[in-house]
Amino acid sequence: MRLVVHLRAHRERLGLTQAALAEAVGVSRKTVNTVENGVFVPSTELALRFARVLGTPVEVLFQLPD
Amino acid sequence: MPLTVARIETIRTACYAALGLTFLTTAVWTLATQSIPPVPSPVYAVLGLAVAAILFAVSAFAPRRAVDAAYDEGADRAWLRATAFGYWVGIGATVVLGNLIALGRIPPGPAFMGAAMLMAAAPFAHFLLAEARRGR
Repeated sequence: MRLVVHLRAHRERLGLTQAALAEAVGVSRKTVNTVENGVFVPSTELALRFARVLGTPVEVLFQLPD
Repeated sequence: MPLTVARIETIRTACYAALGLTFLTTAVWTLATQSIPPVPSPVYAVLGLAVAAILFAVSAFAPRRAVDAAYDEGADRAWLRATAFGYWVGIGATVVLGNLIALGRIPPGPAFMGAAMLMAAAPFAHFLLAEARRGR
């Protein structure tokens, strides 16, 4: 099952680059890239850190497909 | 020159490339010539220890946050998959070269060394390819 990931849209809405988001969350830019592309499903902890930095509920960033 | 996440990743890539290329070159040479390379075996140990020392020093002197980011869960997963790939390469090499030994096509010594070096090279090759893809 693939997650529906809205990370890129919310990052770009805040005008953040992948590198800036990675710095804020404490991961590498490569990991942000793979999460945005749906290649890598982050842990619950990392998903929550993304949500906190972007000021968005985690279930808005990551959703199960219908 | 501050050790940023990108620099730590670059150093790790260079270290892994050095190990992977050494192991792969040795494997190809061993299997192609069917003889043990004329390289003293401690050379491999020294190379491995040198790489370990470099990576340890980088982790020790770089900012903790940059080290944690360079070795984050994405990198962990890439390495986990790379070692799994190495496991299957080891199984495959053992099966193929074991049969070639049984058929008398290759002496046991070079076959064992070739299989070991292929198994050693595989995780590094897989990880480096995965890292290249992750960066795109």
